[in-house]
Amino acid sequence: MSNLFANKRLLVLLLSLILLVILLGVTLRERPHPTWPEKFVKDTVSWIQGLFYQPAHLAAGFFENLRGIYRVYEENQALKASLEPFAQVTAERNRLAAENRRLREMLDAKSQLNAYELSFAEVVARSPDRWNNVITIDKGARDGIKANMAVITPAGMVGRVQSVANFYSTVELLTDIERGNHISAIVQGKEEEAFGVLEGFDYEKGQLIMRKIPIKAKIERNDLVVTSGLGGVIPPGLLIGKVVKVVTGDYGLTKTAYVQPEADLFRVREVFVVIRSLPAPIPAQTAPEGREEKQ
Amino acid sequence: MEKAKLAALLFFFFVLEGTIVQAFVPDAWGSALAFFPRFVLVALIFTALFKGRRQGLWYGISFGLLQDILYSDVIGVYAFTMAFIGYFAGLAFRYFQPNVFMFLLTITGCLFIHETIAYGFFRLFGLTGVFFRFALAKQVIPTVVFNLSFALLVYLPLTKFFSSKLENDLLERDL
Repeated sequence: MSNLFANKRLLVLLLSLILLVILLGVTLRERPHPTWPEKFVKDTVSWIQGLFYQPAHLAAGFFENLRGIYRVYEENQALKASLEPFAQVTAERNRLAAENRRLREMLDAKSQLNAYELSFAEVVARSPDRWNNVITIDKGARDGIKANMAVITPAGMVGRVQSVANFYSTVELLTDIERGNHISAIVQGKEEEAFGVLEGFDYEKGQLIMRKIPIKAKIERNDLVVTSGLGGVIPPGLLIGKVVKVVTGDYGLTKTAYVQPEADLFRVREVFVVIRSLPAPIPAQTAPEGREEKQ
Repeated sequence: MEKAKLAALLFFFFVLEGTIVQAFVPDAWGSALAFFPRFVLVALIFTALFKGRRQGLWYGISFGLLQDILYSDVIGVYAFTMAFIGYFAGLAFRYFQPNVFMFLLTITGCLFIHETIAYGFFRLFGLTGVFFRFALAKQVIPTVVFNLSFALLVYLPLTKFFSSKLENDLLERDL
């Protein structure tokens, strides 16, 4: 025994290994509110990172534009073709929205479950490795950001808020939805909607894996996948991606769909945090400070 | 003063990793191939070479913790791997004359070990769903190659940076 204590280096090594394991174990669970030293470090370093990130991505965007010039013609054709039904769809949508409003008034339904506000945020950093896929955005607890809120770009959903510091927060990208941070989603089929859960990411194909879809659901390629809004702070109807492939699930009881995310998860510069304003008692529309639903 | 300069240099590399490099990595342009910038680690190995393994250990812990706090859910993975590499590199340099060839060999080994351990930790705790074969082929090996070329690029400037102070440190160097 005295021999062990005489070997100071070994003792220190053992103690620090034990400390490491304890630290890992303690911090392994979900921590939406970091401790104050972490918040301090995050806020300080993120501020410095913010000075670098935006200019670098501006430059990268410039090269991307150069590359894009060569493809402008084909892109233009494709866009024109896809824009043709746009006016028709818009008219249809307006009609449906009006009808929906009218019916709601008739029903006296005050709550608007799908109401939300967008809070603009700029990205200041991205994790260098691909085992933690997180970005840091320049809005934090002071701006009303809370953990688990959805984060979107105009193209579609990119992730959810993982932890919040005072002025910055960490966003977990869709590529990182392991560990039970699953997203409840809907496939909008031609005839019906099918529920499912986004449970993982296939790195080799770059596609999300959506499981637990009912076996009888009629879904096919190119169907849109949106959030279901059933699970708390994420409102319904946020676009996630398109179905690429449908297979029968692991046990033959459900279907599994592979979903191509619509948003570019790598070159993200600006995002919106979706703040769900849940039903204020009266009047339904004006609820900027509405209570956020706890999960 | 010298310590502050070294810390500032490491911090500058740290900021580069998460910001400027991220705009130009291949997977941002649609490739499945990914390399992770490990500039701090490369500079850390230089530190271990010129300043000894203790300094490598301490700088490794500090910047590993920083990386954990900023980017990771779990605190301790990078603090451990980077401290380990800092110490291990210093230990390796103890046993042979530091010439360029051996230096590059050590850097290659250190990078490879670092990536493998870090991947092992994240996989162990279920923080990543990447399979080992994919991680090895598409992430770890490209990372080693990329950072090795970075080490070659900064070899002369960093050697100059350290050896300008080497004369003072040589006496108290704890190799």
